[in-house]
Parts: sequence; C-alpha cells; structure tokens
Amino acid sequence: MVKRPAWGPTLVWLVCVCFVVIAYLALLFQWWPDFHPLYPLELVFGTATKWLFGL
Amino acid sequence: MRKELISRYQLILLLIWLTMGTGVLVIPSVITEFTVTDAWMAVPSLFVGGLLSAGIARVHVKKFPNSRATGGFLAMAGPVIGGVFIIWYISVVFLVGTVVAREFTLFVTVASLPYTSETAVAVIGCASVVYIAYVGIESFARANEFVVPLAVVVLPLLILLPLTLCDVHQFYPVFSSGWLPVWKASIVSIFVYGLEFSLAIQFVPNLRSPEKLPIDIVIAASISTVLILIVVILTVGVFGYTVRYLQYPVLELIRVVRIGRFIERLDTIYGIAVLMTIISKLTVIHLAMCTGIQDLCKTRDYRWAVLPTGTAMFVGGLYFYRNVAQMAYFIEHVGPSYLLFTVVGVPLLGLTLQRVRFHLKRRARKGG
Repeated sequence: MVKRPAWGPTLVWLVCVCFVVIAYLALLFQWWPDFHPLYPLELVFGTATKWLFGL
Repeated sequence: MRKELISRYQLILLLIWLTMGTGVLVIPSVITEFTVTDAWMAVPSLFVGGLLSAGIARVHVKKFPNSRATGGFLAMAGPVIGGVFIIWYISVVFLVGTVVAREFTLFVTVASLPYTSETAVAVIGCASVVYIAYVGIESFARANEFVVPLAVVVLPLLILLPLTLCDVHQFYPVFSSGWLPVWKASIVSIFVYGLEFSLAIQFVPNLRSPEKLPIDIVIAASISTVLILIVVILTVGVFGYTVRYLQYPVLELIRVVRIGRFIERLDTIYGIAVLMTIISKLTVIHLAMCTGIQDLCKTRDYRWAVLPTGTAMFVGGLYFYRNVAQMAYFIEHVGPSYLLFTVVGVPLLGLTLQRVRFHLKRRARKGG
C-alpha cells in the first residue's frame, strides 16, 4: 500500500485552528479594530470592478 | 471506498438551491438599488451568467471528463503551479462561503431571532453544514429531493397570494433612465450568482452523466431565472420605490399577505424555506472546498477537512464582515471581478500554461 504524506491534513488543521482562535478572539475583544483583512482584495478587485463594469 | 454518485435531477436541484439560497434575499435588493421600474429587465442576466458557467463546464468535461476543477488545475499546470492555482481556488470558495455564512447569521438574527447572539446562530449553522458535508453528497442530494414536494405546495401559494396586491403601474415609465442602470443592476446577477453555477465542475467525478453537466447548468439557470424574475416582479409590483428601503423585500412581501384575518404571518414558512436553501447552498460550497483540499493534500477522502474548514468559514463570516454594509460592498464591488478572474481568468491561464508546457516538452524531445 502506498504511504500518503500526513503533512497536508496536519497543516490544514493547524491553519484553521489558528485562524479560528485568532479571528474569534480579535472579534470578541476588538483587537486591531482598524485592521481589515480583506482590504488588499477590496483594493485590487474593487478597482477592477470599477474599471470593467463602472460599479 | 464506494464512489458517491448523484443523478442529473439531483444535480439540477442542488444548482437551483445554490442560486436561490441567497439569491432570493440579495438579488432583488441589488437590482432595485440601480433601477426600480426596469428591475425585471436585469433578471435575465442571471441566465447569461449561467450560460457562461455552462460554457466553462463544457470545456472542462471535454478536456478532463473524470476530474474536478482542482484536478484539472493539476493536469494543466503541473504539481507546483497547479497547486498554487488550487490554493487560489480554495481561498475564493472559502471567501464565497464566508459571505453566505454571514448572510445566514444575518438573516436569522434580523428576521426571526433578534435577541440571540450571532455566534450561537453561527454554531448551529456550522454544525448542520459540517454534518451534512460529512455524510456526503449522495445522501445530501437524496435528502434534497424531499424538499421539492414541499416547494411545489408552498411556492405557488407564496406567489399567488401577493399577486392580488401587485400594481402594473409600478413598472412605468419604461426605460426611465435608459439602459445604463439596467446594465449596472445586471452585473451582480451575471458575474456573482451566474458564475456560482461553475462550482458544479468540482463535482464531476460524482456525476452519473458528467457529459450532460453543461446542459444541466443551463436548465438550472433557466429555472432559477424564472423564479427570481417572478420574485422581482412581485416585489416591485407591490412596493414600488419603497422596495429600495427594505433589507429583505421578499420577506416583507410575504408579511403583507393577510386574507380575512385567517391567512397571515406566512413569513414563517418563507423563513424556513430560506434557511433550508441557504444551508443547502453552504453545504455545496463547503463540499467544493473540502474536495479541493483533498486534491491539494492528495488524500483518499475529504472528511478530515470538514470540521476545521467549516468552523473557519463561519468564524470568517463574522470576522470579515462586521456589518451589512461591509458584506454588501464585498458582494457588489469586489465579487464581480473577483469571480470573473477566478472562474474564467485562472482556467484560461492554466490552459495557456498547458500549451506552453506541451511545446517546451516537444522542443526538448526534438532537441534530445
């Protein structure tokens, strides 16, 4: 039987648990209230939507 | 392990709920933000988006008849760049999931449980979605079939009763501001909701007849377009310009139905229907994300990813969009180009890379 690498699932679990703990605590205790994690995405694709579709 | 397969009918149902889940909440509000009297003209754009998705699905099933979208990325661009494409795809599906999860918590807290914390609502939603995704697509699609008889009874009732309050004069004057507002009102329907149909490509190995996927997308898109068109005509016909000030126009539409102090408060039925369809939509998104992670990590099953990613999706929804305005901005101003780039741009990039790799290999063979 082929042995499959276990690092993938471990990494996914680690990333998700860290994200859940940090994001929820940040939300609960209002850490970094001015930090918008989606800002880069909003900047790039918001501009693209404006150029392409005029929205 | 036994392969989970779903029929064409089950796929079409899943795709209809995929659009209707949040489409019935968001599309009328987004369209009437730009135009009220001509709102009905913007709805067929959803079908155009569906056609675009069907075209992409056609290319996919021709080139990779047994692979998911993520498997196609690996085949096109190789393990390294293909892996990067898969990470991008998973992140986009994750963000779409966070938006839908946030819409779920918002709808529940606004429409029925105003004194319950959003976290509690998110926990219940997350538990349902994670459990359904864990059970698998086959059982989920079979359970989904049970919803149809209920919808067949309830839907005509919800459509016919407000019809008595509808006023045709609300649709005049036609083209009061020209085509531009109609075009702007169509963008979210085409490039956000229409392109969501392409998520079906992720379930190609689970389809009994994958070669029929494009036509199934077209059927689902046409049914969804007709349903949304009816909803938009009714909301505008009953409320007129007032519709712009309503957060959930369809909910208010159902609420105004009162016949002889006997038939009233039908919004409970509507609320149940919306929650069922949103949970169904979230499950499809969640399954697409988990199977993508399965391809990335090269594991035999996706079920190990269901709990962590599902929890992250609901927490992400609460964390990324603190209020309705932030969520609406993301859907209207970021969503169209973000999904267009991911659904059309990334596969095109992958196909170009595949061509380049093919020519490089051929040149190396000739040179050797």
